[in-house]
Amino acid sequence: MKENCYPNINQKMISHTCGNGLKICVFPKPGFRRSYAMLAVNYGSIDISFDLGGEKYTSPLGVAHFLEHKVFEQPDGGNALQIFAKTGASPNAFTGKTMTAYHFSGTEKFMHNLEILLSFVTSPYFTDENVKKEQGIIGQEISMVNDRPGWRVYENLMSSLYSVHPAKDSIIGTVESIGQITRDTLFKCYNTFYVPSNMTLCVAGDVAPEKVISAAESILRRDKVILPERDYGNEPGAVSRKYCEENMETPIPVFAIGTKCAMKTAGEEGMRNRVVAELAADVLAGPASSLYTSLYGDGTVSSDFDSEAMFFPGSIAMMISGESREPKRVLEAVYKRVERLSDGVDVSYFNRIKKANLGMKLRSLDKVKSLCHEQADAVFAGYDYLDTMEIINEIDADEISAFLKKFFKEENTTLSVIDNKQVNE
Amino acid sequence: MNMTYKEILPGIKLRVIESTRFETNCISVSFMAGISDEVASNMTLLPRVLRRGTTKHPNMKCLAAALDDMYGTRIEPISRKYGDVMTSGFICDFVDVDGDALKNTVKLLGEILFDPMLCDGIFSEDYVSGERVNLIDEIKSEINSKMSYAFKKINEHMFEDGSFGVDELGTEEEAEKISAKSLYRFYRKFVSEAPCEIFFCGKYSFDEVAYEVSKMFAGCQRGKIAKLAVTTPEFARGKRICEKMDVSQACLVIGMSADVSDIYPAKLVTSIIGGGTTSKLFTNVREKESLCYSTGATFHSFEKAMFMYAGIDPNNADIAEKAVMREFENCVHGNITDEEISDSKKGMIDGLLTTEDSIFSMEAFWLRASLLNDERTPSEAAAAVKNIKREMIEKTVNDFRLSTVYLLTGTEVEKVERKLLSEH
Repeated sequence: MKENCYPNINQKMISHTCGNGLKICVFPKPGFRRSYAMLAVNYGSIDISFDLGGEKYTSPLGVAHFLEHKVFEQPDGGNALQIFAKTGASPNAFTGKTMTAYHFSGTEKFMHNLEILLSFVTSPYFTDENVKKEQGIIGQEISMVNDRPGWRVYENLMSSLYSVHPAKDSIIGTVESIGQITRDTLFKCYNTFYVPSNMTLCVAGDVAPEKVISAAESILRRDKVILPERDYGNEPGAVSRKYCEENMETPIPVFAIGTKCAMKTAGEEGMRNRVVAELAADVLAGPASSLYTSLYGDGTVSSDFDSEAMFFPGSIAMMISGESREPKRVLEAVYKRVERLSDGVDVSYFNRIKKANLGMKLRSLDKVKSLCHEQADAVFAGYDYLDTMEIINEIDADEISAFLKKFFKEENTTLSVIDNKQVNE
Repeated sequence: MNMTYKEILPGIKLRVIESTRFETNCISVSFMAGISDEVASNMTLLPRVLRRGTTKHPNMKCLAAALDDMYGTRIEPISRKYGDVMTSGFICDFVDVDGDALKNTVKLLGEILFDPMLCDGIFSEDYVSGERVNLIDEIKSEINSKMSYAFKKINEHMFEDGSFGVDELGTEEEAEKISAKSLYRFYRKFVSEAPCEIFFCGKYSFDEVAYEVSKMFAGCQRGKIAKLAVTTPEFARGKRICEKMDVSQACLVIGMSADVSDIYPAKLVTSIIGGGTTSKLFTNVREKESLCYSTGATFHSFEKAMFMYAGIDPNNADIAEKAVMREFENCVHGNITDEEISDSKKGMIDGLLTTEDSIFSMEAFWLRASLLNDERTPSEAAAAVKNIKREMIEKTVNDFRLSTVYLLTGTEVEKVERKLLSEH
């Protein structure tokens, strides 16, 4: 068990790596009534091709998300969600492109709930019948998200940005792809990825770290499973489409501008690249940027404007999104701004951005869910989240300039728009 | 954790929760008024215009630079609707790295509130017209989130004769009428006469916060403080609304009135019906019958209204509505297990107790508490929930009455116009 302390941060982290490869991270939160635990699996929607018994296996799209639904199911016909309810705890789960996570928070019987979490995630119960039933429920979920312009614009952006990397595909899959999922598919993927060496357990609260470690070591399998090679393909530098438009009933067009670059996202270098990308997104299009304030000032965009960096194995993507009647003008403004910033970023402006970024990270310490999520993400990329606060201080304005210059080129940038021609013509 | 709640100036009440548990400090200022379409549009627009610039920081870029320099302090406009009352103001959060963050934040907040950028003695026409367009766009964009839109519509239909059905953004028509001159006139009267609730949670004491807040209000002329009228909503009865849109998933919302004096038994009934993963709607309508992905129930304390909802296949609208109503009827007939009561109570108690682990949850809890005139702490409310007996639950569910059924669907309207469900 190791105690990690960080300069200038009133938060420590206790960590331990078990013999089976599971990394456990505990953030002590004295005085908090609620404790929170997240068991995360380094398996997301992009993990569709991998070695299985010496051969390459490709699963249908949407298996990671499908598994997330099914793992709650119990052999007695019940659901793990109901077991948590006996103590009033709030359980939930989510699937992303690179991670599936199961979590709960509660004010009492934390260790009991932790044991439930560790047990149900590692005791799958899949039958032909319950797989078929889930296809109906997930079919409804697909309909629900497809009615959201914000979801559609993101899905279209990713499929335009990437042509080979499975980041291009929907997290949830399609009605057709989930129709191909069988009990056998679920077991193949589950047995490959739901192993301690491919998981992390992150906890925040007024809890005893040694008890957390002891519970994990007694419930989870003891052997260390070797993980398979995953295949994400050879993504070309250029985007698959420079422009993508879909018509939906939305009064104001919704847009997302995306750009991608092959870059390390794991290890020390990966951590630094991630922090640089986050700062660059703020410098270019954050709330204090000239880009946003001028586009907002002249009414081109609304306050529903966001910039963020996204990280996948071997690739970083940046997205600027919002609502605008003139999405192409926004893209032109982005190119112009990047051109200016490539020549140099004003140092005092950059120092303010760094201060704001650090302030946001300090505030994230109060949000146990996002703290554990960030740490799980960091563990899978081979670093600790709280180390990023120190890295911020090391980065200078020139690094941001160089990053933006490398990132925003016409051939690796795409614009996705959801418009309603009937309304806006 | 110490809490002090006092009127520090005429019509200005300050609630301070002193706590060292958080990195973040939060302060909010909420001016209050009775709602109407006109008031809603003005109250939503006003803080957004104020946030555009001050005399010292005349545009967003200057303000953003000042905020970034304070470790990314956020001062955000916020308008909220609670029944027939609306609040408008700002919510701020900040970290205290250099020891003077409260002073600096309240100073900048005061500038934004009481020293706005003016042109010829009124608000900047550019700022008002820009924010007016944004507000109208936001009203139009409410259809982008289908379930929220369905809730907006059922509210309009359930409370058609009163202010309870007014949307917190107001209407496009009312927003169109607002000019720089009219908004400035509204502003002067509003900050002078509207009662105001101020909330703070963080590392500072009541006296320290009261000192800074009093200094901030020194630049504001307070007049005769308006009183908030106490009204009760009039519910529509037996209304069915079906709206067609280009959607692949239909949204069903069933609204009921709840003639209850205490909100917690009504919230518990709502939780048993559709509060979480052990609720009747989740376990039966979603899990057993696979009729939907999202389903649940929610209780609106100020309106005293309960809503059951489901996102469904448009072709299953009939079956889903019957399934949702069946779960309600089961409660009416006393078909509630001890386990369902116990699970729902535990979920509610957990939710109430964890309020104290988040400054933003506490801010929202205590503003609602002030407006409801209910000073029970989250722990006291949790104890009240624990003590609710089965008889009270059965009595409460019998005080619920069907008001309106709303369906947003993609199928032909003719196909879903069905016979009215018998009113309970």
